[in-house]
Amino acid sequence: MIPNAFDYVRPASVDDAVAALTEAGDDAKIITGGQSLLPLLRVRLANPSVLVDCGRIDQMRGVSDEGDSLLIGAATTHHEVMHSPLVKEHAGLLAAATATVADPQIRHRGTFGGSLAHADPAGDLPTVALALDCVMVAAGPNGRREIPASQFFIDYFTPALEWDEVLVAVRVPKLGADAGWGFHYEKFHRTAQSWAMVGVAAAVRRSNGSIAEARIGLTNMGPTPLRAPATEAALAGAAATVDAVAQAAAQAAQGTSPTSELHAQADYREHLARVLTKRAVIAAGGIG
Amino acid sequence: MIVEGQIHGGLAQGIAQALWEGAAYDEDGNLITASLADYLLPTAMDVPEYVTARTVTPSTTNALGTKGVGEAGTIASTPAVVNAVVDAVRHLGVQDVPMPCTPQTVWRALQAASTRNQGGAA
Repeated sequence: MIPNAFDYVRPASVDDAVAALTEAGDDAKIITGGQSLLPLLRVRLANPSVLVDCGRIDQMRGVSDEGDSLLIGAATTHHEVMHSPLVKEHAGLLAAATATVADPQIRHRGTFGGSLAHADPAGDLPTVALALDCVMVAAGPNGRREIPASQFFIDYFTPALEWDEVLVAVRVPKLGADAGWGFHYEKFHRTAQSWAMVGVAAAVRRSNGSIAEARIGLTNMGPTPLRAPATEAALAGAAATVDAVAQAAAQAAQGTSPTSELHAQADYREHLARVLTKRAVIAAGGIG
Repeated sequence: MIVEGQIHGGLAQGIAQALWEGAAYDEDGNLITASLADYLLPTAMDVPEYVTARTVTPSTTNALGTKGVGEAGTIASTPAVVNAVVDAVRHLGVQDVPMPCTPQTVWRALQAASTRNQGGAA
């Protein structure tokens, strides 16, 4: 499996990367860790004329504290994200979900921004970004703009990025344990390290013995990651009991449109979404 | 060491047949499990640890007394695992689960049993 021929450029800055994209035209592709793009190149499902390698742009790497949020460079590897003390303290859900991504070799190469820009509905991190209300920072010829996660995932493998834009960083709002937040990412897969058949990201804030607020993200329940608004509404102010959580989780598949395939037909995926949401909320809220 | 390795591999193959491996075709006869993303195999992380024991009974039909060992683990592990799956849900009215016993297949068997039970009560 050998890719079609392509040119390769490795810009040293974000500005150079945008310039390289502008020059190359709309069939260029950005590569960082290559963990999603290279398999597509090898089977020639992707045939870009130019690869713009953003994996070594220092400005696009690392985690910084911005007060109310963390700013994570798009080319920061999964390994760096899950071991960042800042991420562990202020974005426990992201640390936990990143630890479930594939295997250590892939986590050392693959990047946070790469998996968001790839926008695979079976990916774990788009769901986390949606559940945490992250904001994507994109750079293009006309400067930078910010795109909320709720508007970033448009369709299968389709992020809200123009062909001449680079996802440079992700703003992750802080939801820390000190404010009463607990987290869990519940992933159901057929073999270790395979993609999620369905996954559920839960962030739950407890207050005075009840559930004050919950955010639920669903992996692989439609063409994009989804929230579970009916469940979130039912959990707001609910008693912190297994029964109350089960009742709310029974609505987790509402408004979803999962695909059917051999190992997971749509009705089974809906069943999984309900069961996994219940488990995720119970674990996130320390309930029961 | 070789015998132990053969048994472990054979067990993994037999368990895989019970829980993961299955060739499927669409209605036009196309194989839809043509890649290892669709035709599932367990990795070392998906199978349990094994405790094995053996007896030694030399063959009388050859001078070395040797026997094949490769498929010893395979042959018995498939029915053992499928029977265990069926036994785990028998009290819910399930009488059979087709191979491979995937989560979805077991769920469908439970749904069917639940429908039958309700039908019987009505």
